[in-house]
Amino acid sequence: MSQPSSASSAATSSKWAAFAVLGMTTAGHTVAETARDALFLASIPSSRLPWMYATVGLGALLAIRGMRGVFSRFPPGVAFALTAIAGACVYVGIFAAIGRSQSQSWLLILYVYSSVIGSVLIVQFWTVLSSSIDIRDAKRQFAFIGAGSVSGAIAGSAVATAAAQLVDARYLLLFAAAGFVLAGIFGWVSLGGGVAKAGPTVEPTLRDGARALRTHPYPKYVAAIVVLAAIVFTFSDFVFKATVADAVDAEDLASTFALVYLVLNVGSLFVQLALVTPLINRLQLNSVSALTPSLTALAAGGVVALGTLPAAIGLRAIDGLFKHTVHRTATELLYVPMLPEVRGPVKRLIDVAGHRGGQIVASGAVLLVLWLGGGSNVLGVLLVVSAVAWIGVAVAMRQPYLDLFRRSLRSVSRSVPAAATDLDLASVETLLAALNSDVDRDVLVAVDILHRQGKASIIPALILHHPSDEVVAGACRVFAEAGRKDVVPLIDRLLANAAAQGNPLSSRVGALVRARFRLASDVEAMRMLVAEDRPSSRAVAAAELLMLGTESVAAQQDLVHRVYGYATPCQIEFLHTVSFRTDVFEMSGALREVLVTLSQRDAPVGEAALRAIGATHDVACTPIIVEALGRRDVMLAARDVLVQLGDDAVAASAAMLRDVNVSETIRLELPRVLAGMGRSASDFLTGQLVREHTGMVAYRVLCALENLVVEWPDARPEPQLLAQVVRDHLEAAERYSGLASELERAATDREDVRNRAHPLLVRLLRERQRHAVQRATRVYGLSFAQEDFRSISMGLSSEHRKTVISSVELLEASTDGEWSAIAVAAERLLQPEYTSRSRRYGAVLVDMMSDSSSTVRELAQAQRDLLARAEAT
Amino acid sequence: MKARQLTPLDRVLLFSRLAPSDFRDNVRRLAEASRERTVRDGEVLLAGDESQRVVWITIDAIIQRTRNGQLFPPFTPPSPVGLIEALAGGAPGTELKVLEGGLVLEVSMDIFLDVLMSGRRGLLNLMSRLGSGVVATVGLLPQPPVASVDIGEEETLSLLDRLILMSADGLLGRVALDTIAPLARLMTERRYKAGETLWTVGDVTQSGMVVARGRVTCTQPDGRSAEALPSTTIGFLDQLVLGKMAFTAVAKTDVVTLTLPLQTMVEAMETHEDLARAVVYGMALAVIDLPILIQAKGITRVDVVPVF
Repeated sequence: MSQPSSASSAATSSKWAAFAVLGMTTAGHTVAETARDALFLASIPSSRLPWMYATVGLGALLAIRGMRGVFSRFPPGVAFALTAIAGACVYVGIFAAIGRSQSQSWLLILYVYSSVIGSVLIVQFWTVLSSSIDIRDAKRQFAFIGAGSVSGAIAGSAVATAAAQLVDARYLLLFAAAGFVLAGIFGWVSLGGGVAKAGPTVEPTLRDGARALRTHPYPKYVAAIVVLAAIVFTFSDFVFKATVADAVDAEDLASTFALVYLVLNVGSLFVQLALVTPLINRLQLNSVSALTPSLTALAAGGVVALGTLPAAIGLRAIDGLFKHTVHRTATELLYVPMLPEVRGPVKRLIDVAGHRGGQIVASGAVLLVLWLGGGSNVLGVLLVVSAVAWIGVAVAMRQPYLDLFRRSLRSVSRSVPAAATDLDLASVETLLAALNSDVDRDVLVAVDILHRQGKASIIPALILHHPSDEVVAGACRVFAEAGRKDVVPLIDRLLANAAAQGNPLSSRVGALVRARFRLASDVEAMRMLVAEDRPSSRAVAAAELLMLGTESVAAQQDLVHRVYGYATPCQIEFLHTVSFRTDVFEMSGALREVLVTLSQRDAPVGEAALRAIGATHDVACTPIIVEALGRRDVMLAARDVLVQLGDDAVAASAAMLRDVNVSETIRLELPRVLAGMGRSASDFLTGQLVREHTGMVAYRVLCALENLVVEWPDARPEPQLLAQVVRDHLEAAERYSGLASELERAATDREDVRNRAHPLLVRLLRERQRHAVQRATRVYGLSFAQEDFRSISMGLSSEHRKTVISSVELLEASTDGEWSAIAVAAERLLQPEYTSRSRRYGAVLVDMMSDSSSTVRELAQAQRDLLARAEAT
Repeated sequence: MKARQLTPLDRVLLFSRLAPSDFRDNVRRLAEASRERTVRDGEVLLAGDESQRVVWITIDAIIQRTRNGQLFPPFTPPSPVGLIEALAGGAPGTELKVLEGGLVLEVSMDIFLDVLMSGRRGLLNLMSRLGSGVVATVGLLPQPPVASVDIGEEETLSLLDRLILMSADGLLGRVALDTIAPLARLMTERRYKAGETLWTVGDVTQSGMVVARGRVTCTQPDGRSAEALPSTTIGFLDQLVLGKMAFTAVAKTDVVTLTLPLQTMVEAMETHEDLARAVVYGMALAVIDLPILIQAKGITRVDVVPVF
């Protein structure tokens, strides 16, 4: 109990630390941006801005490259801190330089530097963070941490607004430097220490990123989004600044920008706190990513239509409200599911080259538009086009995003049938070569395939000389089924030789005799053999005569009595001969009697008798076969036979499964049997899943339905048919989760209850909670083919947290409406501290005593007894 | 095979060589469920901490296995790759990397496991092969328990005590309590006086036991011995792999044991798929480092499933 608590408090403190570091960084950057814009636009025309954007892009690329060499020996957290402190020193230097010189070049340097250092620090911060967090925690925490950015921006804007009333814009740079120094020191303490435990890291190069981008499909979409976002935000920024510079006096620019930024930052705090988390929790991540460009496209449409300052401010409002909140959080989340070895280099490349590359492209476009005499209207149209492209990429990335989690589960579709093709010449050659193989199994496979492909005629008759009895038996079966009468003379010769060598009990002899009579029936020969003392031959002959039905009733009864008197191998030969029959024939009462009687014997006779009954397709025997499911030694045979009977046995099997008085051993086997019978059993099994109350039988029905819908996709049940089953499982999950949490909570301050039974009880409840969610997932999956829900379900019980998270993510992506409750229940498996209510330990135990599970009841009782004894002593 | 795509026939023939049990249904099932995939040079099929649910059959690709930085001889085609890792549900520290690109067949572990465990014979076959690996890895003498167990002093062992004992076992400890509870109820409690012999080497008992109270001294014919303490499981692997006891077990103190016939265990595994999977999982996990052991100890032959 103490572990989750300490882990939880550690997570909470690190969340606050990240919030604070990001806040200080952003505050410093916001103040610097205000100073930069005011100083720049007061002295330099806005038409120079596109050159600045392009220079910033190149500058960032060079800066990252240069800093990689300097900081690669440090853990990322320490590198962040050093970068922030160094960045602050440079601001102080620029402040001094601007004070001494009136040259515009320092303003240009300030513009480029402030943009570069800001983005470098932000990239470093999120890289440190995303390398130490998984997607579930990220979804929970990023919105909060992202609020640090907005809070910092507000604080920075407020400081800038206040300071701009008192001092020259140049002095704002000192406030910016102070913010960076604070962020550096705090980051060193909170981020640097944590990361340092992992030891020195090797910084990935941009080339590593390019390589990873080439070989993995998903990051390409992320890169496209970042590039398009940079283009959109650059266009938006230019339109806004150019409009403001035209409309506002130079001396009022600092206060105007500070005021607008302050208002937008306050608004963005609201967006961050009130909208980001609900959006991320309720929408698919790619939909969240598409939200910002959608609104931007609308606002840009307004600029094109109206072309006024309010329209430009509206455009800037979308940028200001969503860029650092919804967009930033969604984009950072897109990186988290990548493999660590991919994420590092790709993120560096995308954040730096992608973002800056987008800025350069957009700057070039702005310059071109201005050079051609265009204005805000044209840029507005370009903005709409870019935003629509961004939306398109966001929509298209859904599948690659989910594929990341599917890969994590490592599942392969269970329904990928190999295409059936006719044998080509090369295949026939391969098979004929396999007939000469030293490995019996190869020979048998080749014989089997040639037969199934209608090529039994090319199997050489000489295979009957094969040294393996198993191969000869297989060949005999195929020859008989294919009607190869040409092998009869060879069989006769082989039988004569066997008789001469005195090997009457060989299974080879039995197989040869069976094939002989099947290919060329000879009643007289059969009658002669029955009377002889060659066991295999007489057993085969007796079976053939009983199947032919040519004998009188008395003669049939005589044959039956003979069979009862046979030794076990001989009885098995008799039964194999009946099984050998594949055509439909009318079974005599005598034959049915002997088969039913022998089926009651233990294996192997009982097993062979059941298979023989199956071969006769005698539906009247179905109840006998179903009863045999309860006998361990013949269960497999009974199962096979029932499946073989197919539709004819569905009704009888279904009736047995529905009957709760039938033994559980039999009922446990019936679902699998029914699934094997095919499509006709699906409706019954679906109904049984809803009404079945025995947990293990219900589970077997579920497994059976899963197998059935793979084979028969049109048998997938309507989801609403199973809604109640899913709800029941989710309620059970909720109940067990609550009980476990209550037990844990009640035990925190009661040492007396933390005995040997307590951890077992909690474990049992947690396991039942997980099982219930897994069942709900699988039941839901019966109706939907788009995901492998069995793999998702198995992933939920993995010991690897990453696998569990992948399952939760896929569930979240695959469920909506009322079904999203499954994803919520799965998510709860990751948060064991969830508690619905709080009762006394004893009251929880009493509640457990009424549980449907006997194990839960028994363990709860054991714990009550232990506590009572402890109290008595 | 390199020049053309695999036909269904190629697949059937391939799996008929690899699959250990009945060929007629299982081989066809594996062949139908397999999916062709071309892997590239340097591609990582399995990396470190990923869970593993797929088995690859190399057709003409060469794949290298690395375990905790140690390289192993490459898998030469045709051979299954990643089976033992898949049985164990993944193997942190293991990497499977393509040395030479080419064609592989991917098969879902679910289907592979269904085939391997089809019927009691298949299940026993798989367990006995894995058991051979466990024996080669850790031997048959009892291993010290992971942690001491705390069971009651009452005369008869309750379900609670039984579950505590079984949960402390390396294999069964991974299985859900709901699943092992029926087994726990089926176990027979037996008592031995100090000095009494539980069995002698070579005995065929067809059952194993969990020591509940006391200490049992286990002595192999070569003189090596070890003590079985409470929660230690003894005898199961001997019966499974050798069909007889590999050591003599004598009660050092008064001893209480819980005995379970191997047959009951296998029947329970047939009924409870998750129990079967968990036991196979645990055994596979135990033999995951078998290749390292083979290299280190110079073992030349281990009778494990040929598909390993």
